[in-house]
Parts: sequence; structure tokens; C-alpha cells
Amino acid sequence: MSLTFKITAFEGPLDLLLQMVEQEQLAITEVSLAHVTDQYIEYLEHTKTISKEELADFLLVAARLLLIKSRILLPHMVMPLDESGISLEDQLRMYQQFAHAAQAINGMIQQKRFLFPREKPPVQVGIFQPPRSLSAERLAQIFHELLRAIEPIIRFPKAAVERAISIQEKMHEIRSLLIAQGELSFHTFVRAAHSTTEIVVSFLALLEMVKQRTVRVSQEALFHDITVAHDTQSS
Amino acid sequence: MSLSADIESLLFVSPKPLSIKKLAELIQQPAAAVEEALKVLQATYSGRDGGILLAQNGMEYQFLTAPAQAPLVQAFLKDDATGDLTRPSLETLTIIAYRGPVTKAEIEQIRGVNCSLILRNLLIRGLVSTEEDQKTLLPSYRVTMDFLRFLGVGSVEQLPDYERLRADRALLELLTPPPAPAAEGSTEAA
Repeated sequence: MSLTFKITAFEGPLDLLLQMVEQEQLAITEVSLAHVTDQYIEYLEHTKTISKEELADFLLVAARLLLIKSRILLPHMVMPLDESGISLEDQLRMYQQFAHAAQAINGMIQQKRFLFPREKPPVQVGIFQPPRSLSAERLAQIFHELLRAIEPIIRFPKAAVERAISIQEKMHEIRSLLIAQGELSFHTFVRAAHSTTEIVVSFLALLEMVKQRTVRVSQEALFHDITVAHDTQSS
Repeated sequence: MSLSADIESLLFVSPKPLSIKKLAELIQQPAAAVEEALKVLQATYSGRDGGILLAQNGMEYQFLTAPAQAPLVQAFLKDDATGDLTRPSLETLTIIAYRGPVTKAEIEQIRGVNCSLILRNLLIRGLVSTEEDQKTLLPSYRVTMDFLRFLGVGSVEQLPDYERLRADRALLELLTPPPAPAAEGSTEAA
């Protein structure tokens, strides 16, 4: 049984019906729907492409078609099951409008007149992300605080650093003299000192060397001269 | 005047559409005033016929490049949008575009066939989005700003025959009452 009409791919029962009506070049009326009813049912019988899920939708339309056809064939018969809601005719006409609108929309899309929004910037390493509370005033304030905090460190330890260097120097001096002379009078050594601080530093250097056991010291009596000699036991 | 400048700046830097509500929050002005200023801004941009338009989708606004510049911008961004959609997707999208926000049941009434899978695909592709209807608590569908971009229009109102198709008599009749109970009776007849 060959079909007398050609149906391209269709989407749903209304689409199938619409294609049939348009193929016959008919306006959507009850008469034209009745006209394609047999085609529609025949098509359902012979096509295998309708999924089970969709079949109910197709059968519903078939039933409504049969109702229309029987009403036209038997105009005087009273239908106990009259349709309420919108007619199949109206529904198909509406579907036709949207089907045509869809074509128009597709035409618009095919023109590819796309609109573009601002591109979302990709997350990058090293982009400028300043903290929220940052301001020039805040920076100045932080720097002032920093200066105030380091002031004692800058001022105080200056003497400490000087002294540390001086002790090292004095130790070096004493060591050099000992190497040259073998023995050293501390009294003579500090006589060359320029300040009390230097004398104290020299004494501290001596104490350090004693502690390190690089020198031996001897003194005949309290406040007498101190004799410094190389500590032979240690080296 | 400065309100419109505020809005313009925010929309200019935002990579996402901004809602009237969000703009009102940011600028600390009543939503009605913001909406009014947006309309003026929109008219200004469409009036100057430049490379940028102010697109509107529902309550959201975004600056987009104009349709005439599409090939140029597309080449620059190396955007690979092709514009291809399947027929059922296209049909469903059309209904959502003209009738949105619209429920799944309403879409299926118009198309006469189940649309679950198509809607899912459209959601995945970012062409439609859902929002919950405050009255019915049913999800309803509307097209996204991306769909408008795809189509090359600044709002759904610019679609051909928008008013007529949206307010189609049969459509209103179809969507107002619950599905016809007579349908069950005629199924038996088939």
C-alpha cells in the first residue's frame, strides 16, 4: 500500500497534520481536516518511526480527526461526547503560526548577526589586585609607624655594634703583639688608648681571650700591671 | 543625569547581565528610578546607531555589540557559534521566546508533543533558563540573554510579529482552561 503523499521529517502529530494540510494546499478548516483524516490514520498504521512515548499524542489527534469527520458526514447526529476547550482546527492554526515563526527565527539565526557581551576576563596570575583598604594616607601612616618602631634599634645598638667591632679589633691587636713579643704589659697596651671606653673595651677583649684560653694573665698584686702571655697549653 | 551615568558605568564593566534590582542595590536608588533611567539609556544607545546596544531580557540588562559588527567581533574573539539548531529545539525555543515565561505544560499544549528532552537540551546549551512562578510554584521557561545574542536582537519584543503571536486568540484560549476532558473519550473512539 503506497502512500500518495510525501512527508519529510516531522515533529509531533500537529506537525504531521500540518504538513498534510499544506501539501494539499488547503486552508485549515474542519473540511480540510476531515479530508486528510484517512491519510493521517493510514500514515500512523504504516510508519515505524513514532516512538511509543509519542504514540499517545498521535492517537489523540487521530481521535479528534475522526470526531470531526464523523460530524461532517453525519451533521444531524447529536454527539454525546462533544469537545470542549479549543478545537483541533484552532490548535493547528496556532501551531502553524509558531511553526512559521520558528522558520523566521531560524532565518534570523542563520544570518549570524550575533551580539557579543564583554568577555569574562580569564583568571590570571600577576594581575593587579590591590587590597580594599589601601590608600596613600594609610601607606604614609604605616611607614611612620614602621620608622617609630625601628628608631630604638637604629639608635641603641649602634654602641653595641661599635663595641663588638672594637673588642674584635683589640683582640686582634693583642694577638698580633703577643706573636711579635711573646709577652705583653697590659698597662703599656692601654696607655695608647684615646678614651675610657677604649680602655674598657681593651679590658673586655682581654677577658674574652682569657675565657677563650688563648692567653694567660698574671698580676703580682692588686692594681699592679697585668702581664699577658700566650697560653701555650691551649695551642 | 548622574543616575544614568552610574548605571552606564556599572553595565559597562560587568561581564554579566545586571538586574534592575541589583543596579538599584548598588547605586542605592529606588528600582523604579533605575528602570526609568535604563529606558532612557536604551533609547540613547539605539538612537546613536553605534557599535553597542543596551539589550534587555526580562528584568536584566547588558551591553552587547551591535549585529552589524558580528563578523568582525566574532573573528576577533574567535567565537565558534554556528547558529545551528535542530527543528524541535527551534520550535520549542520559538514558543519560549514569544510566550516566555511559559510552563512546560503550556509548551506541550502548543506543540502537541512531549518536550522534556528538548527542554533539557536547551537548558544545557544555555539557550533557556527556568524560574519558579511565584503564584503557581511551577517552573517556567524563558530565553536567556545568550539566546538574544544568538538571534541578534536587543529584546524579545523585537521579534517579528511579537505582539500578534504572543496574544494569539487561540493561544490564550488554549492556555487559560485546564486540558479538555473530552480528549479521553475520543481516545477510546480511535
